[in-house]
Amino acid sequence: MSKTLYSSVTNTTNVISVNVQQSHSAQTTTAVIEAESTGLSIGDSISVDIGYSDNHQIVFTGFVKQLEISEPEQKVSITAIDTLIRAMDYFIVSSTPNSQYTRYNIKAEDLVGELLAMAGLTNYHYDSTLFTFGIHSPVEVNITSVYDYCKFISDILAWHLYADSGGTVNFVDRKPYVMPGDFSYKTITKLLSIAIAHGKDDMDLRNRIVVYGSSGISAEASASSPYLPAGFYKSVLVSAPGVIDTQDMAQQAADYNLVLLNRLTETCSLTVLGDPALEARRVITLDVNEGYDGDWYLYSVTHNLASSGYTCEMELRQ
Amino acid sequence: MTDWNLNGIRIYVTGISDETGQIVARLQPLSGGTINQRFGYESPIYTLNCYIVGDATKESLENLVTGGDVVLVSPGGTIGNFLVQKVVVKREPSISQTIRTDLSCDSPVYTVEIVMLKD
Repeated sequence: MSKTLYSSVTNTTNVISVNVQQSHSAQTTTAVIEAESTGLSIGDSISVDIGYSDNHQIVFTGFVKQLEISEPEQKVSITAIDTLIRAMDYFIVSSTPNSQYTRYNIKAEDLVGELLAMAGLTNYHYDSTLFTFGIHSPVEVNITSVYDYCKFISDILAWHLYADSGGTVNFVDRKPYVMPGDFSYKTITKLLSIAIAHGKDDMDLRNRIVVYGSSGISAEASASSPYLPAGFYKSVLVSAPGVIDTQDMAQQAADYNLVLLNRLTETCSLTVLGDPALEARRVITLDVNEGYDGDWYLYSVTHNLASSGYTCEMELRQ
Repeated sequence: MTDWNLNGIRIYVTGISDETGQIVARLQPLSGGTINQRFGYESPIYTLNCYIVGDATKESLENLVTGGDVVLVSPGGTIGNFLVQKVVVKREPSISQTIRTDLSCDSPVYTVEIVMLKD
């Protein structure tokens, strides 16, 4: 049975193609739309709704960053970045060195929320952390972008900061693999006849985490790895002076990052029929009788819609 | 009754055909049948075969590829607005023409194929 493709882009007519790239590892999601004409200008809000006439949904919300008109077709190409681009573009610089942003006894999620609000991002969802900063000495934020500082906080906690397809900024405990309690959004039963790659690697594996905090505070967490020689450690440093100022917090940060990093990366790359419900950071189930059936984390998804059809390229991780 | 003309240029039509189609992406899963996805449809492409007489007419026709919409008129009335995509002209071996009596009998005769997009 045939399906009629659907696309709707804010203030844009006669869409020719849509490409939306979402990835756990990317700072932002990018959308590139080609169309016959648009009334959009640089900085305008934009949402992209694609799928089929009977099943479509918004896969991207963000801001227009670039407009190009190509000759001789007079085709317009719109490049947009998700809402987190506001946090990247907002650089915090106090008017004087002595009047910088300072906070005492502030929870990590509240600190991130306050900084995002500075950049105008109030559509914010977070999980509660166990981290309170600025207990003994103040947290001072200056000469950094809102995004960089919020990412720094999320890295200390081994958490994840991203904007979803609806434009909400999320600060959550989301690891790049299937976690206990995850539920599968969808079962994939059909693959397209395009190369499928499945493999494992230890490139991201780290089995020794060292954390440096304020005033000589430091902590360490390590574990042996069955994939490394006995007594061999691949180390990483989490340096957070000015933020981590208790021993407990330093140890928690080390433990959290060890859980995140002391593991192999198992990946699977494949292409499936286009589905607007496929969104990076969700969990899906593969049921294709290809030897790697089961639940997978959607590490990245690229939606491609054009006259050649609607497909989704995915990188899955376990 | 109006004669055949394209933007007022007199042509002697010997054939007219049009072609249209739906844009269908055919995706092949590893298992199961082909999945068809519809991505709009193509507006008709008309191909017009005709005779013309005289170099001035030939030049006028060829100039249509540099402009915008043209109007195709038949004895039955206006067919519509078109964008001329291509004009292919071939000179016929003629000594004396009687097609256009308003032109001299030694005017050259051409067969022309005109590809037009419905606009």
